[in-house]
Amino acid sequence: MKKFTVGILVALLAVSLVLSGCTQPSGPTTTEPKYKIGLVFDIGGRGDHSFNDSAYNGLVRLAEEFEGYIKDDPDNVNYGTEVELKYLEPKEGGQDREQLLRTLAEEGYDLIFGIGFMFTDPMINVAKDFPDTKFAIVDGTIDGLDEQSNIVCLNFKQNEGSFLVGAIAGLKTQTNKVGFVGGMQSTLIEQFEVGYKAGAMYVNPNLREAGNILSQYIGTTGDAFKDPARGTEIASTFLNQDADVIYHASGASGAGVFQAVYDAFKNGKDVWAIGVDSDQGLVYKSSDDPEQQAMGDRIMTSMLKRVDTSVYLTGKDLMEGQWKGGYRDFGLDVDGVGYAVNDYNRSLIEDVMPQVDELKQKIINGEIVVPTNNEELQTFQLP
Amino acid sequence: MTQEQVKVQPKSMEWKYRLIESLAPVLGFLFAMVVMMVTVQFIGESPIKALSAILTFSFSQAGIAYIVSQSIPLIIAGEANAIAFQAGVFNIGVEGQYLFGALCAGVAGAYLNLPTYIHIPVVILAGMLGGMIWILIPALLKIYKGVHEVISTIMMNQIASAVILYLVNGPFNGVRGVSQSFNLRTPYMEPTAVFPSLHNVINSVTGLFGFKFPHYVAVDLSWLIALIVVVVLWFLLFKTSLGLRIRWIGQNISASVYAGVDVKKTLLVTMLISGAIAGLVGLQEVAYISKFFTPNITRGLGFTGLAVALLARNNPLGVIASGLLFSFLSRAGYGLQMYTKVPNSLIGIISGLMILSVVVIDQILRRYARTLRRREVG
Repeated sequence: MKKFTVGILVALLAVSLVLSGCTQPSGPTTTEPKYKIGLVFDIGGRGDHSFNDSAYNGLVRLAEEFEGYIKDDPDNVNYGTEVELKYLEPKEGGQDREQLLRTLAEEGYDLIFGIGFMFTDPMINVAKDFPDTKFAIVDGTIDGLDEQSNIVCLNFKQNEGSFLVGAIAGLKTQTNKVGFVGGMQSTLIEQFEVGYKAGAMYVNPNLREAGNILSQYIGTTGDAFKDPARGTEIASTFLNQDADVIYHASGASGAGVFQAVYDAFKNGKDVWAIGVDSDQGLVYKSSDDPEQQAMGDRIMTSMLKRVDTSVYLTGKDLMEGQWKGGYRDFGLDVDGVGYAVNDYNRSLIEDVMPQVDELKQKIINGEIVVPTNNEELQTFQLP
Repeated sequence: MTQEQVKVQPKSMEWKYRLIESLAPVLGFLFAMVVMMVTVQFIGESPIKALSAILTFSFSQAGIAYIVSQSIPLIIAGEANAIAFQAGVFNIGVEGQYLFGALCAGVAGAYLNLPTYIHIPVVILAGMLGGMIWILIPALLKIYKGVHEVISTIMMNQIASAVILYLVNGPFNGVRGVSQSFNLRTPYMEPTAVFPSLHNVINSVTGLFGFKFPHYVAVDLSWLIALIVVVVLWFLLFKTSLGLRIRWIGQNISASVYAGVDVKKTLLVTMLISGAIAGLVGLQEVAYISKFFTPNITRGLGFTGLAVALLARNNPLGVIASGLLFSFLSRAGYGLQMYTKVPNSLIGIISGLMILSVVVIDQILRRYARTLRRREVG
């Protein structure tokens, strides 16, 4: 027994000695970075092909343009020592998000991002304790902020992005009938609907006739964003009425829309879906499940909220002394929204891309003012 | 250790076995740190840097405060598993029980209008009741139909996830028409139902040792709840006849039957107690931190609770230590994230390896001591 105990102790000591010998000096002493920017992902972290990955790309762009580096990054993003960028990822809920935001604030980070609405309460708590630190929440809304606040809410001009995917739908439709499935009936989702309709009508005269753009909301409550069964139902009705491109802005209910489109495709119809928020086609194609991959093939494109742009521009503002608290909406002019092009759908939409990009230019120039609600759609100037 | 030695000094070795047993968790912990350092070395980061990152991040004032505070739900989950294990029941369903219990507590806190001194107990009881409801079906199935609780409680976990999603989407939705937030949740709890902060009380005690819990760390009524659960459970298991019956059927059901134990009744009571405790796990988050219930509440505490109970050998007092250890491991993971270049995806693996080595070393040494003892007896 003695031997055993002694053996273990010796082994422990030996290993720790050997390991302490392995310590490398921590590289050349670097100059202190001028700015330190931290970011906390939502649960899931890198590799989600969605918001978190997009946020990471925003950091990479900041590193490139401001000669910075991402600290402790496996991909060694390093363009200089002017800006230190650091990301963290919560493993659980509870106090974890706040713990991470607070750690970054204590470590003297000048600007700290939280990705997703789940950061609302933790960010309010931490921002109160660190009045000199700037905070930014992506895709979340905190009430009662102004330009002097140390929090900025970063959101997106969904009507402009929806206009572009509407144009793609209008150009691509064979049956001259397209559909829109909305989640909860609200001014927010109306922006998606109106933008989409305006885009489709703008490029395709057939769609200007009443009844050729089908549109329906899943419900009037929050349930509408989590009701794939109803999504399938509505999309199937549209497909039976000969619509061949269906855009959804209905959160998790969208899975039902994709299912309906995929089922119709299996029954011999040449029909397509358009995703929302992130590149949903790519997300489905990256799945391990062959059925999901096949569904991904029927997603023509997606309306993108460019989290990377919002992260990049907010970081840029800070470093150029342009920081403002409050609320900020990112539109086409700054690439805050867009449509998804990936390796899988490129060949499909390549032929219409020049036209769509021309429209995008017109929106940026102000030649086209994308409506935000149904009244504005009535008076929308068609060519 | 030859036989002559044993004959000459028949009892001299006992203290050594005791020493091995009591050192087992400590050695396990040290071994876990070594495993961590070796893994980190493989990744190409300096192990010393990793170790110092973990230690400075965990044993700062805020670090200790967070570790203690975040161990509360782990300790309660550990206790819920421990009592079931004592009776030989594998309650894999703590996960579903605390989700449903937390929902019940959140709903009781949001929809009832009571004075504080009644409202808070009602919230706590609602949590316990929710947990008990959720274990009732597996308990009855086990007792009357012989359905193994592992299968039925796992299924109840799945059902719990779906049911809470439905209920928070449907009747207990607190978002619709109120705010633009996408966070699916119940309405905010009434101020009368929110757990009071215990910062003043706790800090007046720890302040004597120069330690203060910062205001942002949750120091709340759930601490007291956890303490009561630990003490009551220990008393129940080791100082009452019900506790004796529970431990008997855990060790040998057939013998208990012959000894005259009403196995069905004891099993039912044990499982209900386990469910009631499980219903308390989510209270810290629901009634103090967020003040509402959301399906996005911390998941997985029930499963971590299994490991917590296992490491504590199902001893209610030991659960405190092992709950603190698991809480430390989670904080250590964030320390690695923050101050080293260990990729996030590997930190989960490292935590897992550390947990595994703590448990394995602990068990090996324990068995070693047992073998030595048997050899001595002959």
